[in-house]
Amino acid sequence: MEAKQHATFVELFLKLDRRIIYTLVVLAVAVPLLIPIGLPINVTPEVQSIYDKIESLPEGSNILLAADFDPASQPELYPMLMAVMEHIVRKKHKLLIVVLWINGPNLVAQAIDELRKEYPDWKSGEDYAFLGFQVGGTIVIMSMGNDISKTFPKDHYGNATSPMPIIRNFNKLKDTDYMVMLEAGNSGDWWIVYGTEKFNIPVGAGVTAVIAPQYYPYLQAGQINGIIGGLRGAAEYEKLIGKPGKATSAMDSQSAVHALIFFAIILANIFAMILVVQKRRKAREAK
Amino acid sequence: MQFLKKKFPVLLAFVLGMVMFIREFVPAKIAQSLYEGFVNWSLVITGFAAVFAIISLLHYHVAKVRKKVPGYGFSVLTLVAYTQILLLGLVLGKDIGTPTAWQYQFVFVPMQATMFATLAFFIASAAFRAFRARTWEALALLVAGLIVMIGRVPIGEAILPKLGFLAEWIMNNPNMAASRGVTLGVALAQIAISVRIIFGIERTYMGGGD
Amino acid sequence: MGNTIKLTVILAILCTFAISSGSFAQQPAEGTAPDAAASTEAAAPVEAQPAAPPVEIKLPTDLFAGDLPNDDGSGVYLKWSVVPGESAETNYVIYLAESPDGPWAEALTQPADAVFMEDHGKYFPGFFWFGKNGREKQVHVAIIQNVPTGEYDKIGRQIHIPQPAGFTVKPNLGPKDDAGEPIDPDVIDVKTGLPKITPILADIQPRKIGTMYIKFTAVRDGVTAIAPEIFQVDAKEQWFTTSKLNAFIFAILFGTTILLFIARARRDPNLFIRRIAGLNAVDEAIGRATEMGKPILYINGLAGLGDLSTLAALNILGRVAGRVANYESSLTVPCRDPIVLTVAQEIVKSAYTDAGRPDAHNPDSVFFLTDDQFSYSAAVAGLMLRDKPAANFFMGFYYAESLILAETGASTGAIQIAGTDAMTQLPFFITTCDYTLIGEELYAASAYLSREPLILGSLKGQDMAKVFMMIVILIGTVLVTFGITFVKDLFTQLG
Repeated sequence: MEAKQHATFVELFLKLDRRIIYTLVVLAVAVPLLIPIGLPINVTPEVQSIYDKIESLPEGSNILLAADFDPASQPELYPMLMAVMEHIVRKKHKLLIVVLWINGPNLVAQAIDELRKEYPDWKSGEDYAFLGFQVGGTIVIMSMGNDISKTFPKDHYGNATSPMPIIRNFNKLKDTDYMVMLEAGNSGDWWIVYGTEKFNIPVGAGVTAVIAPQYYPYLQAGQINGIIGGLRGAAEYEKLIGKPGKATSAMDSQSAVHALIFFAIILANIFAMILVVQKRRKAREAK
Repeated sequence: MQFLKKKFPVLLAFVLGMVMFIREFVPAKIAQSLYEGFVNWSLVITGFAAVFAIISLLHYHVAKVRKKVPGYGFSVLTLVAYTQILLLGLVLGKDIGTPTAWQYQFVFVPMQATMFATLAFFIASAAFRAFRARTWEALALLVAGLIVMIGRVPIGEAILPKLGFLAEWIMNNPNMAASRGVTLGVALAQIAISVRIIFGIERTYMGGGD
Repeated sequence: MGNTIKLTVILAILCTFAISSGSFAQQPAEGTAPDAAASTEAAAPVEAQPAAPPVEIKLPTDLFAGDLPNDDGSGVYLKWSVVPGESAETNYVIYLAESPDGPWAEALTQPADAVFMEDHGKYFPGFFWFGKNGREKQVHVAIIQNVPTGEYDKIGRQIHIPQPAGFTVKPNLGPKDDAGEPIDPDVIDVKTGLPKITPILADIQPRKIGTMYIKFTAVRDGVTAIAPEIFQVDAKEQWFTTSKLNAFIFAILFGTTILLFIARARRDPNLFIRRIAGLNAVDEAIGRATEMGKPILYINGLAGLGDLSTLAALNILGRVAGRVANYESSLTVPCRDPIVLTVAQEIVKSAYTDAGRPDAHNPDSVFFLTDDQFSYSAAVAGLMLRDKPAANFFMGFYYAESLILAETGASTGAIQIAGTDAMTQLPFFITTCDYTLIGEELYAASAYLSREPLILGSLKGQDMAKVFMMIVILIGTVLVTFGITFVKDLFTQLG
């Protein structure tokens, strides 16, 4: 009788209703947000190298930021955007921001607004220009190779770009000293093939965790100098700039969910093995 | 008519395919202008095709509402949402402060983020259901997956500091080797399918079979 | 035997891990900054300091200027060997003029220790089997493109012009109108309020620089050394990129191999192709849906028609639609891209016609949903939960929404067959679908389902190309281990 109850528990566990799993995931995400644990975050070399590059550039260097993501990737890439932009602002570099995804510009505008509250001296047209979205993908990049102000005659806010002081020294892709691309899809390949490789521009990539593996070949080949991968990468960058934000606060939740899935899989496999052993034993006993 | 329907598309695919192939190796300005021209054409065609797409969308949902098929309420919602955002956008614009911008910021953005967030639940249930080590290969895959999963979050490194290095090694070595193998195979397959399409051997994309 | 092989593979992986962890453990010693040169200033003596020795700048003796190869006619270049003992503080400044008497405008400044020829494989590919692709070593190169690169704005208005000793510089290297006269920068378009831009200005991007005269100087500590010779260069556009020669040859080789095998397939149509479980299951899936009286859901992926995987998915759609027509089942094809929609509509209609069942075709079965990624996946998930299709096909290119679609489909109990070349989404499909076509199996599906000899022949050609690549990789890896890079150089992208 006892053996049968044990087997039933094992079978029940293996056929666990997905709603129970979803509830456990909700708890794993919510509880660490309410009761932070504060696990230490180690900075990986891939993220460190992007930070070091921006840090090492002389003041006033030209940095191009491509924010190619939409609201779906906002939880991962928005904290990255804020951290990288704040770093650039602190180092007083010149920043041009472009977007190749149609649903992206409003998110970037929101980030700029947040940053300007903290850095009111950061001036549009002088220190930075948010050029907005332009349709065309690779054509936009190729056109920027010739003339950025012609590709974006007006910025996101409707101001003409050619009279802007920042455009005077930063009007072609080859004027870029460093580029950071924040990608949620395949547009990173466009930048590498049609932009940075053509003009030998060093570039760092910030990407969602799910597509980070496809950027490792670029890193190994030296085509990009670093990867900020997913929320973890964003948390590392926040640590580097000394300003923990949304990404850092989400790390405990991410750890909890990963641990939950880890133990669920291990338990499921253990119980599956127990079930197999029990079935074999029953078969032997039946003989 | 037969020529226009059957032979002309194949001829066009051949000519344009060869032109685009050769263009890749020609640095002269004409090659770039040609590419820009083709992309501009495709943008124009996409614009017109978008009109057909919208007609298809409206037709699909209107038909469901008219026939009152089960779940037609969702179609009503779709039609109302489509119409109101189109009219509001055309009349009042899309700048910050307009209803369109409000809907974007407080409806569209949270819904998009929510859909992406549901992946967390699906990953948990899919992993729990499917990650069973029934063979030695599956066991190796499972162990590698678990190491990477737990090694890339702070808790993994807090438990065992070397886990992070191990996870990176798995990503940079076996994972890279496997993905390069698949990429190589895919690239060769793409050459093969391109040759078939350019030379008119593969014509299913045209419709109408052979 | 099989277990022995598995154990051997596991041992090999562990050995590789041990070797690489050893190399990881050997972290290179952190470069220590060279001791700063002792620059302590002694207390200033009372007597006057001796005069600093005059600055001596050595100019290179082998200057060469030419048309920049492999470009669109907008570039010239200058090359020279590294001057023995050259100082890193020297800057090389190159001037351009449209006539040998000037006036000269500064085109390029680069430090002495930068920009070597071997860093520019795109322009100077050389031949593969001469060391580092044949490019000369320790040779500086200055690449000048799209002049003017001096201090001008985009319509040639003078902002600042450097005035080195001995040169008179005028802003004549700017955009010109039809008559060849410099465009007046003060002409403003009344509508836009911006300087008027003529078609000529737009057409000069990138600017073809024609015949140019080049002067080479070296500057250090305020002293300028001027090379005596003036170079005349005609910038021309090239019609073939030699840096891509190897890619061109291999493309022709592979294409020819595939065509040869296609031709061979005409003579011998009985070609073997290995079993692909996912494609064998197509009939089973359609039959199951027919028995249950439920529709079949077919998704072409989320990429546009420009993506080859979408074309492959549409090819499979044609085959699947034909079988659905024969089985008298129903098909639902929600589309994300407008152009894919129109093509899919035509394919399904033709498939029904070819199967002799044009009356069974429902034009509304292929429809447009939305082109937004997650809106589309939400709509498809809703379709799955309401209509509960018995068979789901996920063919084409997918992004992060793949798991949402596949897991929702799994929850409805449908049989699921997926095929994608999106590497990052394969794990999700493998976990949630009954059958998954990995990478090239998606592209082979059309041949597999149709069994047409010509298409099967192309698969054979593709396999031959793969065998060739495997042999090359093996040989190249062994050779590189012993320091012979001939094979590796042969396949290296040159820029």
